[in-house]
Amino acid sequence: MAFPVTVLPELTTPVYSAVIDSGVLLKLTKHTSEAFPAPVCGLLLGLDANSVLQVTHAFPFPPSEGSGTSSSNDDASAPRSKANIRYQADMIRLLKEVNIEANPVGYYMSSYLGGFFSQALVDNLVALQAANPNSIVLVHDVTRSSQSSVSLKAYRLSAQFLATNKASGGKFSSEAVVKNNLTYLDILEELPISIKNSHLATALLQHLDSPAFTRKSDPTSFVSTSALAPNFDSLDLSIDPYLEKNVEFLLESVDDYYAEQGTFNYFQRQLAREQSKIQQWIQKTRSENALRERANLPTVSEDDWQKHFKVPTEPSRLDNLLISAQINQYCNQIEEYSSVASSKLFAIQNGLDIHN
Amino acid sequence: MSYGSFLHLSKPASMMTAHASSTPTPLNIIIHPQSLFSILDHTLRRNEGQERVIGTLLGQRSEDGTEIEIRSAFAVPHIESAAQVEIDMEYHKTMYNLYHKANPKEILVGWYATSLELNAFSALIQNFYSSVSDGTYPYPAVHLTMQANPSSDISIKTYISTNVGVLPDKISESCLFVPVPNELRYSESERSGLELVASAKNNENRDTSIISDIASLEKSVEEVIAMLERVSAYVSSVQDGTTPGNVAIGKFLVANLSLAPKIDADELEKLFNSHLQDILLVVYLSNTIKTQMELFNGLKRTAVIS
Repeated sequence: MAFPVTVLPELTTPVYSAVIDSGVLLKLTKHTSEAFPAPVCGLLLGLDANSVLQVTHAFPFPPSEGSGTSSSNDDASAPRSKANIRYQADMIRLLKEVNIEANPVGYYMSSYLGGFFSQALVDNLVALQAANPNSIVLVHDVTRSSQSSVSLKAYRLSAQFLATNKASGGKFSSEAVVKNNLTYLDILEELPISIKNSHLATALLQHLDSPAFTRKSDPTSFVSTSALAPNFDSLDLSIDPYLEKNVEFLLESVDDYYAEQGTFNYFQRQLAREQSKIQQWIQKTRSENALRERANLPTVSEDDWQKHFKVPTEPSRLDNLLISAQINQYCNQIEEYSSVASSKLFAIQNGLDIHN
Repeated sequence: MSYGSFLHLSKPASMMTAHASSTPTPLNIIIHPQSLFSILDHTLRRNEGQERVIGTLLGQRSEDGTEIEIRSAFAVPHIESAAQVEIDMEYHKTMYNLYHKANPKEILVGWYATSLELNAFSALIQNFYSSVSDGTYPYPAVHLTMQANPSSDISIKTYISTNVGVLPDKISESCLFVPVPNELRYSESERSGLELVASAKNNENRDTSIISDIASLEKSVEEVIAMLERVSAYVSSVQDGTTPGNVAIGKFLVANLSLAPKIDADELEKLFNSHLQDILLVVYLSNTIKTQMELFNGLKRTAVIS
């Protein structure tokens, strides 16, 4: 599984923020909102230089074959499927001919109401960051963007996460997690994003805003239909559908959490039982050895318990971490949304009180 | 683009007369802003010495062919000199296939060029794009020209073409480009993206960052307040007699202001409180869950260490 590596991992300087070209933003939002509610992703191309990651181009991955039934996982892991790697290599080759940087710097994905913490995300990022440590994932939340400003976040796996991954070989045992100080809050680190327009794009935007371009669809109405007329959807008062969905997902995640907790507890009980059995066996052999020594018979080593008993393996803590991070994400979303909704409510009450 | 009047010429009978009568001519072209940004991006990246660059337009056609939507564009390398023009057709075909795999709904609708002039080369390219083999046959290909010169305004013009025969051996080089009206359209979610991008247009260094929900709410409220202030200034100046009043505007204002709902004070109290309680309940719940997660996390760590 090889990504076109154009930069040696050891030689990269870390980046601390991401600059995204306006064209990329528009392409991204168009692709994710068209495919809504199916999860889709695509690749980002650009440059990392001067401790800033510049994303200059992006293209979507084709939807996986046989999509429709159980392929939500396939689409999420699209950056790593074989067909898509070929597609990506072809695309990059062609784009190079028109002077577009052929350097993958990450991938973008759509998310439905913030539910993007999954095994697929982790695997994708691990693979990408192995090729280029400055790779990011841009998560675009389509449901939130349709209500208010664009909800786009850039994430990258934190150093602690990668260290834990390497130390425990992907298994995430409890000791590795504690030793590397990895909590569920530290799985992903967020990068600040800024959107940059080229000079020509700025000229185009100025032109779109000018009165010459404003087209009055109906001579008797005074509503201008300029492309850049302000959007007042964010002043809408209804909260129920959004909040309801959020709470629903939150409760589902809590259920998942308890299910996972249950498996871990089961493992712990099993481990305790095995340990006690092993202890008993060791005691028995010790007393037997004492008898055998007196009878000058070969003794049985106490370490032989490994041949008789199998210690259950500890399940990976990764699921637990991911689910906790997901729950945290939903809670944060609810809080952010409530702050906006409650300010609107108080404003309305104030406004209507004046009339009364 | 100044919205003047358009003289719409019907497509004269062309060489492919058998089918010409059934292919409708597009009456309106809708452009998605994302394609314009792609074209501009390509202009910026052109090689040294290239005056104009060309590329392919992809999009959708409406059922009856009268509306064409341009959704995306990609660049095609080409070499142009005074004597001849060369387009990499292989590139166009491969790229189109790749693009089509990712977006099965988008098909070839035309091509673009970044200079306003229409010369013999444009005719050649137009004929290639309208050709039978892998062009837009039997529909006419749309040609979009965009003036991307930094010294003048950006203007976008769209055309369809017909053959105009002067000499039979030069038919492939002659074209009559008929202008077609175009408009810019976008979906709801694209709109917020476009707004965000546009908020940077007045900044010194042409960039802006993603703003939080609260900040965008503040911006909207400020805009509404500014609008209200403008309207009230106008109304008071009409009352003073400094500005002649306009009956149409007055009626429009009265109609809109009467839309404010009249609610009983008690009813309002109740609605407001129940709404607020819903929100607060959910916020307390989410805070409790977060606290519990933190506790669990802390307990687990101590359990492992001890």
